[in-house]
Amino acid sequence: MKQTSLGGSLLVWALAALALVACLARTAVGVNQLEDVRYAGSWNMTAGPITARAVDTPDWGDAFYDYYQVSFQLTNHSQRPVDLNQYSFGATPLAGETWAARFDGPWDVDAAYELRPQIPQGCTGQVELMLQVDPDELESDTLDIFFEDYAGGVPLGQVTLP
Amino acid sequence: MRILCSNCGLRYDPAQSEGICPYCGRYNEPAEADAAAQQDLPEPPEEEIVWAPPPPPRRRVSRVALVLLGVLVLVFAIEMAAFPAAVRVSRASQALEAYVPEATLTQAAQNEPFAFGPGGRQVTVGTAEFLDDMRGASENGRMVRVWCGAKKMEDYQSAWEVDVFLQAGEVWYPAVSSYELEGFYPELATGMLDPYELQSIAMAEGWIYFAVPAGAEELVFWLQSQTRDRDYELEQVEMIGVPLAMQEGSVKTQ
Repeated sequence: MKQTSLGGSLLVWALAALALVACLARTAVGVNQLEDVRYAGSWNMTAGPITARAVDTPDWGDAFYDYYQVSFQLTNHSQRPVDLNQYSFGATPLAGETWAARFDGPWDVDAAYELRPQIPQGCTGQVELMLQVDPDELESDTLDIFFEDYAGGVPLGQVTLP
Repeated sequence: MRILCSNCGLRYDPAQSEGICPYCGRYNEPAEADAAAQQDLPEPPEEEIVWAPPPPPRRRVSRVALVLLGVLVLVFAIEMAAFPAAVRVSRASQALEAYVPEATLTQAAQNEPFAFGPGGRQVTVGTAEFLDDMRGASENGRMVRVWCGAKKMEDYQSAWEVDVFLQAGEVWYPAVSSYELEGFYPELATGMLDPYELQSIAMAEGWIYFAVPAGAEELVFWLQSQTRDRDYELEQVEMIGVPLAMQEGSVKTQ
């Protein structure tokens, strides 16, 4: 009968334990993703061509970063209005650090009645967002633009920075 | 005749245990030569015990561990493929179910009653004012209020909802909620019209407040009628837009 050493036997048990931990972890992540999708809000929207132009650093901005105005038409086919703010949209460079680009905007802490631009259900509107880019970390001028639904995002298209 | 066990090295009499070592269980068959040699040797004294250190224990690979490892690796591989696929399918089906077709857009005139919603409720959009003396507006915004009135209805329509927006350029702005208005202007909140009241059957009228960009001038007030299906999913959207002739107003006159 084939025999092996004590070390080999322990190694098999250790690998089995590792596989069990990996299975449990993947299950937890997968169930969490499905829950996120379930609570994501059933978003459905389409975007027209996305353009970007370089702009000067805004008053509320940081001179360390480059700023671009990103524009596109968005048609909201969702069950809810789409909020047009920096938190609703995301940008991911095709290469380099994912956090090298993000949408940003002013925040008036003193305002009781903030501006909350929206696109109602079934309507088409213009989206104007300010993209903040870290030039040292950005390795690609092309970025994926998506709507942030906290379940992986709804892809809207790509934009190439000038 | 006693022999030495080839495994543990202890001496025992195989005739008494059918050749099996009573110390370690190893079966030993004495060779003829060994047997003859053993016969020639003088019998050691009975009390003498030949000792040898026990061999290291031998372990076999656990089949349970191997099978378990195989099953877990298989489960992990299935999970890696199944969960992303389930997420994609779930997203696609949800997006399909959530789809709302483009809204039907019509126009109405300010200060003239028009039919609104599935029950044809008579609604009038009246005075619209800029409120530059109202506290709480953001630095780059200004406050606006629009008077709106709806007549009493006979039949209650349950499968619809109402929302209102103020359009400036190509962007819409939602109404300020009564909760937000009460914080700074409780006296204004009492005369405020909650858009929810427009879908009831009772007569409703009052001011609806909005925050819009500072430079906005050409404003359109939109009444949105949302028709819902049995699952309470939004099925159809009708919007009636009323271009507003704006006036300068003041909250101090309240």
